[in-house]
Amino acid sequence: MNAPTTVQKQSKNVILSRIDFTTAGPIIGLILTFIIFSILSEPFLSTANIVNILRQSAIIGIMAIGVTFVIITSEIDLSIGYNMAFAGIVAGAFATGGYGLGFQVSVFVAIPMGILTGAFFGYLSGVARAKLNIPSFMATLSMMFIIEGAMLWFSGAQPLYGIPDSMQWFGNGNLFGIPAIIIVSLIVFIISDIVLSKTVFGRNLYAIGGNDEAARMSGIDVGRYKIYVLTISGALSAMAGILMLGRIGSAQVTAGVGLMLPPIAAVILGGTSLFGGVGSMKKTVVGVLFMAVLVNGLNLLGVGSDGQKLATGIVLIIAVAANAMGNLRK
Amino acid sequence: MLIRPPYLICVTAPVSKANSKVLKEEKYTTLIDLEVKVMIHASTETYLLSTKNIRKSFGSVTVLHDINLNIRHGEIHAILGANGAGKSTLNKIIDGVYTDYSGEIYLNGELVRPQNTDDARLLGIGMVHQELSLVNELNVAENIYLNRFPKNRFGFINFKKMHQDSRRILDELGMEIPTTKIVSELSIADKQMIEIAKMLSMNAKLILLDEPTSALSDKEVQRLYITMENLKKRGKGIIFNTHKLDEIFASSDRVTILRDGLLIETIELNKQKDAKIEAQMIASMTGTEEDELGALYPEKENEIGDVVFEVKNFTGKGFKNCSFQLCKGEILGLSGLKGAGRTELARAIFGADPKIDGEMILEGKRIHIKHPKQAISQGIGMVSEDRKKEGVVGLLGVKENINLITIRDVLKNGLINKKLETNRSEEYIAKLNIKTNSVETLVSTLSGGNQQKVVLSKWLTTNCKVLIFDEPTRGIDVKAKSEIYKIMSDLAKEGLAILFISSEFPEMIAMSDRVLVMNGGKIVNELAKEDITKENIITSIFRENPEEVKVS
Repeated sequence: MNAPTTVQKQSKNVILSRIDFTTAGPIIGLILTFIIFSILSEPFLSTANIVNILRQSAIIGIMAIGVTFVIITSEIDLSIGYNMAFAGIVAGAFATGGYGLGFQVSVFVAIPMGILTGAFFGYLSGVARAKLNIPSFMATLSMMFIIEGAMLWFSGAQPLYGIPDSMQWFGNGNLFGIPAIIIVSLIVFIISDIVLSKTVFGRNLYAIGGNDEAARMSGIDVGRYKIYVLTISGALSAMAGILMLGRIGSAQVTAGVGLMLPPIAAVILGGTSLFGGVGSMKKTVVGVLFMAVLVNGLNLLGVGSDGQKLATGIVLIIAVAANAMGNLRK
Repeated sequence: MLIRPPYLICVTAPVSKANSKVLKEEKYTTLIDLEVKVMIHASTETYLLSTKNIRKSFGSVTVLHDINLNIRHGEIHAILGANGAGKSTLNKIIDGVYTDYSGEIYLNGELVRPQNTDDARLLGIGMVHQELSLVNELNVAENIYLNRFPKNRFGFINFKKMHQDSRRILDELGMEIPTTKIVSELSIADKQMIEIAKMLSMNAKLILLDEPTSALSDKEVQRLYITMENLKKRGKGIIFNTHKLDEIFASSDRVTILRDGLLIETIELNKQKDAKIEAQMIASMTGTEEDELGALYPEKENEIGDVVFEVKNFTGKGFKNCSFQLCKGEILGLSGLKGAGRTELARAIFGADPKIDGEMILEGKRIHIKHPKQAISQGIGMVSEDRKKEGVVGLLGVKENINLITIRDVLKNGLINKKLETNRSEEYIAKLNIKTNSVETLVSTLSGGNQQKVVLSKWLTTNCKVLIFDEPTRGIDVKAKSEIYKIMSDLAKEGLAILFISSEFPEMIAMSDRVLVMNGGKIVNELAKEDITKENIITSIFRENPEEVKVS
């Protein structure tokens, strides 16, 4: 009678020790939250609400995907919020000839213009990081102010209305009955996931984040990669800015306010290490959905903005503490 | 009033047969009011510091065997020995860093056992480290009294007293720098003086100087000697670690020589260079008995081919005018002490650090290398000295590390193919006998030897022509060591040209076809075949007297 139980215990321990809690923890958290809200709130599980959650998480999700590349290399990008807002304004201005631009281009030119703007500012941060050796925290913080300044100068702090419908479609249109914003973010996720996990580029990012000196001694041009990741992060936050145009129907100077840190929080919540070398795009998606589900569920239960923020903060602390303890055990 | 550790209350020192003439059974009694009655040894002389049978092991390796060292009052006592002789371990025991040793330390005839460095300071033992431990952003006085600031009656720092007291100590040392000067603006020599001042402010009776001259110019060294003389006149004892014979003759009263953890002998000096004593010192450091070369090393049977790689007049930070040739199938040893410029030279060749001047010729063609990337594409690899920092990515798995450099070989349709990657990793795991649970296991969880084999695998995937091994066996066990020697030997047989840097003489002698000896940033000697002996290497290092390399 005793023998089998020990065996059982042992196998249980083996299974337990094989589970990677930094990966499983956020998934379990997401599922538990989902179940709890399904029980507490009837409309939570409706198709309309699920689609709503996905729509709500799309913009933060794309920014989080961009910043995941950066965090994996143990850098940070604080300029994503303003990059997003400014890209929307630039794309909107080119498409409408607004802000006294005097000319107008096709939406298919205006959108790349917006994305290039974001990529350009990301590239500048990258150069500051790699060539001038400014820590990315400071380089991108400075870039945040520079972008804000450029944006206020360009727009005169005025919002821009009359964004063409074809441009808004990415944010509020549908394709085969599915919101375009969800399809766009899904495509971005799939490509980014492949790039990070299956290409030489992605693999080298892990090496740099894990040990940049060893990466350099193995022939990886570390500085160039840092420029790449910050450029990607700039471009993807700009893409989020284009989606934002359709979500709110106009280009707003204030669109990026409050969107600087949630994507970073989502990345960390998913289990990616803030110190680099560990993480994945899948983890980022889990983190983004976790935050979106939490906010949406509390909203449905009538909890206001105050309670939602409080809950997000508490969940973040628990997640990061669990992660730190998991690492200690190793 | 000195506060003494409570374990001094009634301690009975055991009788040691070896030292029975010095040590009779004694009892230390401490009164409750902490007034200490000390029984003086029944010896003719009371030493400032005296160690009895100090023995220290790391795991199964004993690094110090029964060290009996005596330091007199007002003496400059040099300790000489090659790397790994036990100098720094002995220092750390006296300084309270290591507490798990056997044996006793007597300070002024009194048994002490410092539990940490603060404890050592309270007892009057001061240490000046090679890498200075000052806070660069604070000023001179603040550094001297760091964490012991004099306070006024409101509990605030009494800056006036702090600066006055610091001034007094600096004056005693003949230092003119203002006490308000920020330490980062001082030269290394001045910083060292501040460290000494700090020790004096704590009433140090014994001062340990750990290779204090390594970063000083000749003039600064002279000033240090004067300071040491000064301290000596005030009755302080000075332990002076160095590996430069000239400095010992110029400064020290006595020298103790350590080798392989044994105290070989202590020699009286008279401040004059003496060829006979010098020869005696070198002989003591070298030892006469042959090391058991045994089965640890593979047979030397490398077939040496034509010159494949040539370095001409390499100059950079830490090395000057270095030239050498390396042949196909040859293991070329690069010997010398720490800081001789070997690693600096190798890193410059590999492009990890910039060089100032010099050229390289690989297979008859001049090559230019500014980044490791270029070195690798030319066919030069480097197994770094610091495995953790520069060798492995601990957060990644075995397979990611093995394929780190040549990841492009395992692509299929532009994407990393997991099967190809795993197959190649398994091939190297089998070939090099790497002990790991799976190809996914994080490298940080492997033993040092297996981590090193992962690093080697990484380089073997590149099919390089020249491979630099910088201290490849540091911190790994004997079995893994012999495996690594075997791999090196096999690689040489396959035609790889190897540059082998090592501070351990036995492996240097057993593995190398030729040995270059470096000292002070220069190649000072070249030894081949039967001339490769420990004695010749040590003589080259210690006899040659190269000018200091000062390259900014």
